[in-house]
Amino acid sequence: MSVLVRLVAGTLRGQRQYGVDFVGSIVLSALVTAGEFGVVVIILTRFPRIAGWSLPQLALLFGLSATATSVYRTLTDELHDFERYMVNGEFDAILLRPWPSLLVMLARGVNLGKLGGLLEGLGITAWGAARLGLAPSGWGWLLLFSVTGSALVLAIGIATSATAFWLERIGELQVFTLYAPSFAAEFPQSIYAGWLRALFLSAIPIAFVNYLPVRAMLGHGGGIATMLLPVPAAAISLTLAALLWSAGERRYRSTGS
Amino acid sequence: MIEVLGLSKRFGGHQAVDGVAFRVEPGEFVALLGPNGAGKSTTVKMLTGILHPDAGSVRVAGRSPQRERRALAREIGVVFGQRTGLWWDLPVCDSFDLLAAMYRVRAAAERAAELRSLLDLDGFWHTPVRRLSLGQRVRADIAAALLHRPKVLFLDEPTVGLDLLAKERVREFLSGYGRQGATVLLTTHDLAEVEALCGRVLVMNGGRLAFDGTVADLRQRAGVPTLLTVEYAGEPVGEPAWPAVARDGRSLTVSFDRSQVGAGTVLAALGELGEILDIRLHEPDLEKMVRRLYLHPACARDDPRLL
Ligand SMILES: Nc1ncnc2c1ncn2[C@@H]1O[C@H](COP(=O)(O)OP(=O)(O)OP(=O)(O)O)[C@@H](O)[C@H]1O
Ligand SMILES: [Mg+2]
Repeated sequence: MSVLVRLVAGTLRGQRQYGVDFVGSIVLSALVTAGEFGVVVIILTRFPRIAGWSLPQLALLFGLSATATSVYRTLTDELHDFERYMVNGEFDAILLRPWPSLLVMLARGVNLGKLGGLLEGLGITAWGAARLGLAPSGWGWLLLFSVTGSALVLAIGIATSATAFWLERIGELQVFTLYAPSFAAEFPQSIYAGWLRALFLSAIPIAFVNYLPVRAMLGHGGGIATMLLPVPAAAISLTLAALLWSAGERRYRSTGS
Repeated sequence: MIEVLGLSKRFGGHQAVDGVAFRVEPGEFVALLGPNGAGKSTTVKMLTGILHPDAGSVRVAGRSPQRERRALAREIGVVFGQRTGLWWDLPVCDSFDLLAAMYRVRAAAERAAELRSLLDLDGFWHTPVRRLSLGQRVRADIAAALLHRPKVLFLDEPTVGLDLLAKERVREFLSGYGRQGATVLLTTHDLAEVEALCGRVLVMNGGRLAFDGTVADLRQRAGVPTLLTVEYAGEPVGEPAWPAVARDGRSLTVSFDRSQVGAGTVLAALGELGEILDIRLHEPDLEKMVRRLYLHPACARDDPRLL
């Protein structure tokens, strides 16, 4: 663990060498998230509700999705660019270390500049919870959903990056597995076609990030069992992603020099 | 220390490594030679756990690089000349701190200080890696690969692109390191390096092992002719038993095959032609011998003396 902390500290020190302005990038990432939430707010000025969800309720969906995506972006500066490691053979150096390669990739890619989005995601969730007058237990549930949601998005991200072992290029795939779904997760799933909702319950399980548990929490469908579903969903997703990663690692081709 | 049997790797339709087998004993300093694309780097990558072979078995320091990659990583040091294992954006000293933590190096500060003076890293110990010259970076990379006191050191073209002086410094260090009984597998295109450092040579060509033996074996067996020039007191009388490549008044040069006949026999026979004042023996250089193996892999393989 202490090794991991030191590796992360090393990564952050390296970023500082470039004079990266932390405050600036935190503000920037917060602005991006705010802009996205602005879209939701603007839609709601035209329609009072979306699929029966009021603004504070939608804030819970949006906040949890933004939190999960921001956690992913905070941890995966390098993993997100994993195709570079394939195309340039940079993954060689990762495999020479006496550590799980996925862990080394994550430690190399911590970027606190993305924390702005995380803080804002948590803030918007909290605003929604306050407006809805949630009981303390409700706040506790939201905290759990933040953690499981982050784990789910991280799992999707790891699995997407792992496909680079087969496909090399993953930029386009990331649009389908990360960008589009995290946008889709900002709205109630009930507005989507059946096949899309099925997809979001299976291969790209973002329904578990926010929609299913929040809907159950607000009493719109499902009970405690549904609210607990994200826990096994996150565990299974992370396990599958890690398995895909290690299968990919065995297939790694490196590059000729 | 290294045991390789039937090692093969195919990329698409191309057989990059094809049934390679060899052993390296502890304390051996072995050169891995071969023309571009011979499969040297691919072999090294399979020995260090980067690539998984299609067939064959590998043991390095008693471990399988594929099944025990992480455990093996603690036992080996690896330097790829074109790449760095250091943190690009951090000062050299920070990379060493991180590596020491990662590998749980005992007495890391002493070890780092020792390598720092051996490889002369003092001048740029606090400089970010991306600002180092190539020569400095390679020295830092070699030191980093040795920080955890590996049992085996793999060097893949460590001196590629270095100027003569920088090469010389690296060579001097490696020579000292080899004398301490270290096990090293060195891939290089620099044959002077091989002569200076390596007791044994492996030559790959087209994915196969074309030669395995000592530099002396290679010299003796490659069948590149040795030249002997003899200066006579007077004009030599008669024809030599070996082909004369040059004959100019009192000087005569013959060419012969060291693997067929010793230099002493040739000299004695040439003595019959006149009184000898002076002789010069031109050993074929390693470069010529290796080139011959590169050009005629088949002849090398069919010749039982060349494997
Ligand atoms: N990742 C890869 N994908 C496809 N082909 C590869 C890959 N790596 C190596 N090759 C091919 O395998 C063959 C052996 O390559 P390798 O890098 O092992 O040669 P080498 O002996 O190290 O050559 P050099 O002296 O140029 O470094 C070459 O034909 C090369 O093109
Ligand atoms: Mg090579």
